[in-house]
Amino acid sequence: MPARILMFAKLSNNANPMVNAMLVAVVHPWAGASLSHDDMLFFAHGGKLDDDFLVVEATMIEGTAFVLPSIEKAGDRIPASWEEAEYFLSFPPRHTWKDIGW
Amino acid sequence: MCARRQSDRQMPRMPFKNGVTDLTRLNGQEYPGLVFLTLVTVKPLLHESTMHPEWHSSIIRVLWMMLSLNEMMSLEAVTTSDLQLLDRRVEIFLQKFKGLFEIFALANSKVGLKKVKFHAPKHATRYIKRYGSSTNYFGGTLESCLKPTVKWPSELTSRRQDFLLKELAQRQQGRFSVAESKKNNAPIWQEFRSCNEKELPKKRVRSDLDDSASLLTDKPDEWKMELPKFSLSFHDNEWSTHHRKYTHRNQIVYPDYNSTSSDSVYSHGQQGDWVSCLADYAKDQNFRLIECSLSCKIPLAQDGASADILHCRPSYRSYPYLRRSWHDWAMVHWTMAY
Repeated sequence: MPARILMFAKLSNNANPMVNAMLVAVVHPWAGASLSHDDMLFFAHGGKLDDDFLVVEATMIEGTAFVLPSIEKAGDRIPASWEEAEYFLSFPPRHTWKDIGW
Repeated sequence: MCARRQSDRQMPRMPFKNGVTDLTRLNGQEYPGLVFLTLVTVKPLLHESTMHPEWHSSIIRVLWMMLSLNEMMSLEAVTTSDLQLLDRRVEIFLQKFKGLFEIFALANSKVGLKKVKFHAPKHATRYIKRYGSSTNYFGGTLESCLKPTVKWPSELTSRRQDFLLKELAQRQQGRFSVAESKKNNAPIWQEFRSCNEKELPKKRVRSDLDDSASLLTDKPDEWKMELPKFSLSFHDNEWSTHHRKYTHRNQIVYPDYNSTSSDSVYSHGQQGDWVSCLADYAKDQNFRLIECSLSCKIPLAQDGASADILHCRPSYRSYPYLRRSWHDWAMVHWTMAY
């Protein structure tokens, strides 16, 4: 699932000296439990961001994602920036493009 | 801006400062990016009042086929079955394109689509068979070599056409002379340094790795975190934020790291909430020190050799009030429902 990275942090100095320091990220996750394809752009996944932020361990981050702001349905206001956007499109990795849409 | 401030290096470049309708000075490599952005921007433009909904999906499918075929044609290694598939797909694409845009082409000129540019993809497989992968005759690499040898040195010339070659040669000679003298003087310089080593002030060695790279940190392999910009420490059941030499005692804030003043903080956005969320998590896990960084270098999933940098900066190369942030997107593998 795509998520917007807000911060990276290293947590250390645990009360239990046996616990290692860990790398985490504060993310703004995609709302919902699964990805759904956009109605019009069949190759992309569309969705909204969740209301809350989450802290995830860096080991859960698989790699980069390419996401752009968009509109959900015709007539919605076109966002001019990330902050204004409510609906986002997540695109598949480029190496998979050749197998999509035929 | 949204398309450019992302770290997925595999995506086509989209440097269209003048918008996607200005086609001046475009080169071939930029067309995939242009088609991609057109696909994204076309969604708000297509609605029922402009044309039949079936046309919408046809237009989007044809535009996507262009991108898909481009990927197939630029594969580094192509098998015979790939070529057969490519041949069939080119035919499908051309038929779809013709069905959709032929009337517009005929309205513009009598020739319509009976032109070389439309017919050319039919020969793609033949050319790949004859000359190999398209990377064999890709001129971009050579072109980029001209940057250090022609483009950058020419900035140090009088830029007069009749003197350009002479002045470029002079600049090149200058570079060679400097490189050669550095090489010749290296032993003398080393000797001088060793003699004066004790007298020279010791500089702090700056590295993009702090002790987060140590084996005692739980993190994915090869991840390199940037030096922390600010930190939080937990004392007497309260978190305090430290930025440079200033401490926001018993406060959880996101310091404005761009400001010359150490005590200024981000107060307009949600940055404070992010830090609070992090502090709550750390408290639950019994950690007492949080070091916050704004970027992290991660190995590229495809080859592992090169790396992507994941940015998370509230204002990147800009003033905070302009709010030109760069927060990358990442694929997160959830291990449980949230």
